[in-house]
Amino acid sequence: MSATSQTGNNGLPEIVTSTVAPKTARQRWISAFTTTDHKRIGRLFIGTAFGFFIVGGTEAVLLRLQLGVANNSLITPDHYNQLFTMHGTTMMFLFLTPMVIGLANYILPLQLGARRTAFPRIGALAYWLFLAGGIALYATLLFTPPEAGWTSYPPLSSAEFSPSAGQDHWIYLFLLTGLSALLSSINFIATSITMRAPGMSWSRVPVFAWTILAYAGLTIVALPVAAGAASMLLFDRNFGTSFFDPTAGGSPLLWQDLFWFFGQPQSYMALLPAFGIVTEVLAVFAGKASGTQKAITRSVLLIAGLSLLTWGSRMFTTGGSNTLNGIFMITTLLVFVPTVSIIFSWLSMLNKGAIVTSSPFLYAAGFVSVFVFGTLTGLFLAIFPVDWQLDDTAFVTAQFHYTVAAGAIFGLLAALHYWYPKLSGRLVSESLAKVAFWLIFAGFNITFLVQYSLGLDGMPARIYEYSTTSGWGAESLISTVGSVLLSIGILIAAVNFIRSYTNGALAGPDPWTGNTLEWFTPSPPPEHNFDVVPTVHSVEPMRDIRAEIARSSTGV
Amino acid sequence: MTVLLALLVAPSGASAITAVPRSGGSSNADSIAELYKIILAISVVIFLAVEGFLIRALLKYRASNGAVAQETSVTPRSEIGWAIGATVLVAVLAALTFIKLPSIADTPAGKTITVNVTGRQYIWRFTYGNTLTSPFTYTQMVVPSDTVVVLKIQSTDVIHSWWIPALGGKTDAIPGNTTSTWFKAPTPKSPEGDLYNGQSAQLGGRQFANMLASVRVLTPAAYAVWLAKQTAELKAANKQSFDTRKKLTQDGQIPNLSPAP
Repeated sequence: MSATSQTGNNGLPEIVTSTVAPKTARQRWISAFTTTDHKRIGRLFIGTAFGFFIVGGTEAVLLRLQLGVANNSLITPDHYNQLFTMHGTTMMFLFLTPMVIGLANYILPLQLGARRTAFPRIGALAYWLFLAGGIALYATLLFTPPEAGWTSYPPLSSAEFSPSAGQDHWIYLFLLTGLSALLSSINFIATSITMRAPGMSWSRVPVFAWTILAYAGLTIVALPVAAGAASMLLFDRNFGTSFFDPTAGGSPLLWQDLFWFFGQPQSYMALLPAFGIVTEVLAVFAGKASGTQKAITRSVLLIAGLSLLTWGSRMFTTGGSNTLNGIFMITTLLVFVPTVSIIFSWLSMLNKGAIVTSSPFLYAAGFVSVFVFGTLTGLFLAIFPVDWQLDDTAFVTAQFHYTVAAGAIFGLLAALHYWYPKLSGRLVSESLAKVAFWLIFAGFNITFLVQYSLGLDGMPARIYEYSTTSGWGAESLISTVGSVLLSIGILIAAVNFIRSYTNGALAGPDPWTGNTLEWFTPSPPPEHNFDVVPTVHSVEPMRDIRAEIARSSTGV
Repeated sequence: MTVLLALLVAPSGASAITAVPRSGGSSNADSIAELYKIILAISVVIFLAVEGFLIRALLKYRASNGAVAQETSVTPRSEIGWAIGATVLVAVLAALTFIKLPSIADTPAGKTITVNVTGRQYIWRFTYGNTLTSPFTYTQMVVPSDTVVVLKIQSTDVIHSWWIPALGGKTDAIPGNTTSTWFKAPTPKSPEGDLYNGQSAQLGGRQFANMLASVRVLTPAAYAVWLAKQTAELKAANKQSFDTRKKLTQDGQIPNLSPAP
């Protein structure tokens, strides 16, 4: 290169080198527990959360096997209730949230051009709190797991109707993982405010980073409310208070208000990062710059704000005033407006693109196609008189999975396939990834589409058996077959990740010609992330750097 | 996507797929189904348009077919346009809901009876009146046709949810609260009456799957006969119980605790 590159101020980054002394085996072991490197913490989160994903998925398949035929006696009623409680709790608090936190830990500082997070030790503490929460929940396998559902409505979750300590452990899990999410959120916000690369104004922050900020903001506002409610339930169960006990002046509906104030935004908290991931993946694999990114960022922030006003939409059947129901209907319907803007932005991104159907793209496009269906069927649940028919049925289960679980499965698998080369330095097998995708896509739709029909036909969610006269047998069996296909697909994806970790082709720093700064550094990145942090001139700095390199190497 | 489209477009008669909530037992259920169908029609149009556009883009603009990416950006004009379009749509949906709401939520005028519904793990109890000697049944409610039946719903333990799909939406049974709903069933076709089935929709514990409920609708005349028979039988049973207790008390086998019914 020319002599000017040594000055490092013509747009080309300056290259410096560093030496790192190799660690002894003992040092490596100790550092596995004491590390404050955001990338290692991120990998711990991602690996542990994926493990819980497999566990929660296995629980779901067991549930589906029980429901495959009428009057089945494969699983006893108490085990069935424990299984769906563990499934919901695991997926929400031990997979979805920690997977988002793990990806954010790993990717956010790299995207921002930071060499670490603002509070590395808090980042590490968050992982160990999350792990403690997971151990607290799964320790109940040794005695009696909780069985009041992931929403734990009192009085069912009270000491009288759920005397086992399993319910207490559910509360410990909620508080521990909640604290983990809260600490992580503070870390993400502080990192974004203080540690962005030179030149990265707020308008140049990538969309995934924005969605993490939206997630973190929502967590800080909404989670403490539900953590307070969980503490009140703990007091009710163990110390004789009666916050939720109607026989002593308490109110069971108070729990629903407090829980859903967090629980309803929690669905969006899981979805917003998926929106960010899908946006970045669609842009990169359609060969587009992020011309639509600002519109999507605006919409994401709008959804985050509106979601705080929608909790009453989960309580339409509790006999409240229809004026209040009408207000919550309108706030919930308003979320539809920015959601439409996001979906249309994705479509315009694909329109007139040059699409490369690599595995991250397939998952992202799969998410869009499934999410459209979930959004539209969500309209029915927002219209409260219609919700009176649909609430608490398999229709709600289906719609929840078409939105939140779609974000978890398709959105987060898009992320894992997209950033896998960055994490591991290697590429996954594309042919295996495509087989996995089509199994997952077909299995997902077969599993959940028929559940809409079951709900319309009167099947409540969470029942452990149904009679032969109900007419639900055929669709239930279809759903069970679908869940097996879905599981096989996910196992193939998991095997692909594990195999490619040692056997995959070397990826290099930027296998996808990405737009954002994480692709500037080697894969996997060194401990200090960047030898040199480039100055950012736009929302897609890698495009500028590639253009600069092309310009200087052609001498123009 | 093909699966989605095929299932959505397939005529509902050709498969076991249910696309509309049940109705036919009461005008509020019918109104909900009408509102549902309007949303369904709008959703199907949007779904087909969006998925169609998506599939077209996915098939047409492939790099492997030599497509070259043309930069697109969302202009403020199109962003505002989408926002206006979506807002108009949700405003229409909200307006339709409020137009339909009185026919769903408001108890109609006319001949009315009240049935007290009490949920508990894992059975429904129906009390036809407000006194200790009022007749009652478990699991199956018996009501007259062409009469507004107002339900006062309570729970004695955990939260349950009252739901007979063909008679309208759910109403939760919440301990400490009394919630309310209504239905008005048409004249039955047979003398045994029409039967409408449902079950509790809210998780209430281990045997919640078997917390079944049904409503038998009789003609008002048949209902009057049924109610008189229930009242008489209950009275006879109470008398028998009282006589037995009186005898046992006189014999000194149990202490005298209760007053006469």
